[in-house]
Amino acid sequence: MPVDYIPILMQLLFVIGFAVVLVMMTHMIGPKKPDDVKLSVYECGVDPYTGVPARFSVKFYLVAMLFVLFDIEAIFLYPWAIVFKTFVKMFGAFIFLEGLVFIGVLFVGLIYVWRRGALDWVKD
Amino acid sequence: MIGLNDYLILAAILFAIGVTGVLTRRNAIVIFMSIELMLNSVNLTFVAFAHFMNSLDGQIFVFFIMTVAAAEVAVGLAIIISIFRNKKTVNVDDMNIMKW
Amino acid sequence: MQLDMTITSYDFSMIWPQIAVVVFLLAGLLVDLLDKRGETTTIGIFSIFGMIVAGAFTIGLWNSAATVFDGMIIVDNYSLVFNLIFILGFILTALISIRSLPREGYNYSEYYILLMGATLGMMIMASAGNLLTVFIGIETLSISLYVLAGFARKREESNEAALKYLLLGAFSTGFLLYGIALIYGTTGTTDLTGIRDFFILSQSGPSIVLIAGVMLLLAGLMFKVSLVPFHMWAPDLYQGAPTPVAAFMSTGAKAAAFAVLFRVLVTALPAMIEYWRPVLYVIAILTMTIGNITAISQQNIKRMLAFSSIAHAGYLVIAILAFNQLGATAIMYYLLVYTLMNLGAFGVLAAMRRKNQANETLASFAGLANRAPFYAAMMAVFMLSLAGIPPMAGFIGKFMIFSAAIKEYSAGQSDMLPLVIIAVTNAVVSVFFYLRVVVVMYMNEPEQDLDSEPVNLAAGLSLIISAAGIFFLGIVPSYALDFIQNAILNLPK
Repeated sequence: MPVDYIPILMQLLFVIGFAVVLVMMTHMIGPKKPDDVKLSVYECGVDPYTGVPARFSVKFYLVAMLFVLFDIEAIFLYPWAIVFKTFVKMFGAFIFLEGLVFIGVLFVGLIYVWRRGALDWVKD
Repeated sequence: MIGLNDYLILAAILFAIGVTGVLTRRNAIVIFMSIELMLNSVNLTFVAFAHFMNSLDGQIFVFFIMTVAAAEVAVGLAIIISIFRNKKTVNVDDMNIMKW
Repeated sequence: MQLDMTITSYDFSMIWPQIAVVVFLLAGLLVDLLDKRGETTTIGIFSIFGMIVAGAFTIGLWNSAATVFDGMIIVDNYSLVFNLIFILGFILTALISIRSLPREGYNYSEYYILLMGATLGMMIMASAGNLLTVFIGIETLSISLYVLAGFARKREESNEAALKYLLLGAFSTGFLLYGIALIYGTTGTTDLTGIRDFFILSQSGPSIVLIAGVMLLLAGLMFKVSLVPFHMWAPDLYQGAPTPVAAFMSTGAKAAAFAVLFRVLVTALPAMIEYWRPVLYVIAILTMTIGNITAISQQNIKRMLAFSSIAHAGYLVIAILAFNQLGATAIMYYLLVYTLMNLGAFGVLAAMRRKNQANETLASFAGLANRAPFYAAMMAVFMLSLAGIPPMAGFIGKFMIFSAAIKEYSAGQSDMLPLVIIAVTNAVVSVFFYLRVVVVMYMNEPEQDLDSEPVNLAAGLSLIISAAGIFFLGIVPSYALDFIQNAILNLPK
């Protein structure tokens, strides 16, 4: 039913409104110190001689990949959360412990990544 | 009304596009993206079946395919980067130390 | 919401071997952080210890027959035998690697962690009771192997092997999954016994969509087993990957893929035998013949072993086609023996390797009997066993496969006879290139003066275990066969 989508519409409006309010607020209350350079029209200084965009440092790749991995593992928490109430009635604390084990395994991975230095943005 | 068949045909077309991409493209990254397209068309098939059969198994399967695909991509990009460091290319036609 | 499942501590008690592997894997990851980089022997020994614990749990579960976690996991002696094969494969590989890792300059202890991850995937595959667990097992195995194949990341061959394996492996996973999706759509379930029940209940024959799904699923599995025409990745992978990794992939990973292929055919698809039997029949002939003929022309021994492993997969398909109790016994026995002999042969190759010399060509084996009598003798044992010469265990394995096929022939399957004749011809042809290695080692003079090979303790132990196992299983096969025959009783059929 179309009526069922009203909460989604409301959330959409809220999100857009929130973003607009934030942008407006920074625009209004942010400090403004205009000078000649800032007000001049932007133009390139040197003619571009590499056609393609510059290569990104591999650091971006590593952090992005780790983010994707940990982020996507979180989708298993959704079905877990949905059946949580029913399962607590059936098996008691078991389902809670199971969730802890899952997060614990991820946590070991996080410790490993951290100690191996993959999260250091600037290597010493 | 969009029926089950429409979803299945769309998924089959996407799968075929993915297979064609794998077979015709030579850049390792593009081949990899085509494989992802294949996996996502499978996801679409699963979700469509699960919805029209009122069964949850298909949706759970999709969760696992998504996570596995993410892990595969992480490993895959790492391998491609280490190849790029050694050979300065990611073209599969240049992978010819050993004959295919 | 309807929830009619129950999970008790009984379910968990059935997967203790897998839990043990996970615990040791995670612990290994943390212990590794305490050590400084470049020290891998500790983790290697730690992981071997972990696998022994998992093996003890496996033996403790012996003779249990249970379907747990709502049909996701089947624990029977079939899966337990395979668990033991994988654990054996892991331990032998780890023993070879302890010396080989530092020498080759990829001395990172993640190697053993990934190897344990791969073994975990194999164990899940062997006890999978649902296409979902089949998929998870295959991917746990494959993703670990992708990294391991490229583990020597400074070597271009290793990079290349990893990329080829990754692209083709992920490609085949796509087909496997599409097949599973179509099976799910037509039968309404991914449970293996559920699919079997669907065939029992359905009045009409399978629909075209279902046939297509089954064929796609089988194609995906056949890729993992490396049957012709899905074999092209194997030679490059084995040649380019680090030698201990190639050893592990050609034995454990292949055994796991066979375990899953046979389980799916026996448990889920016996009703579709008229559809998959002709396909496998042709593939068996192609795999044996192409594998053996291509192996003859190879000068690189690693590549030759790759083609020989393809040919051995062809023999194993005959045992699947026989589709009887004897065939099932033959599959398990043959894979056990095959794990020993192939790991042994790759182990010798790994021990021969020097930092700047591959020492993998046939020519570099010339006169090995004088330079390194121990390695030469070991290699001879493994080659003779692969060729199927008594009293080595390889002979008993081939004999069992052929008798399983002949048994079906006498029961009225007339097409089994040509298959056996082709297989025997192939086995005779294969003797040529296996014996050639032995001849070169014992008869030829070395072309250049290579330094003599010192025998290293861990690798030597691994080779001795393999060789002793081959003689034991070949001379008194009845011990192992009694065990394995018990395994079949509980196999649902």
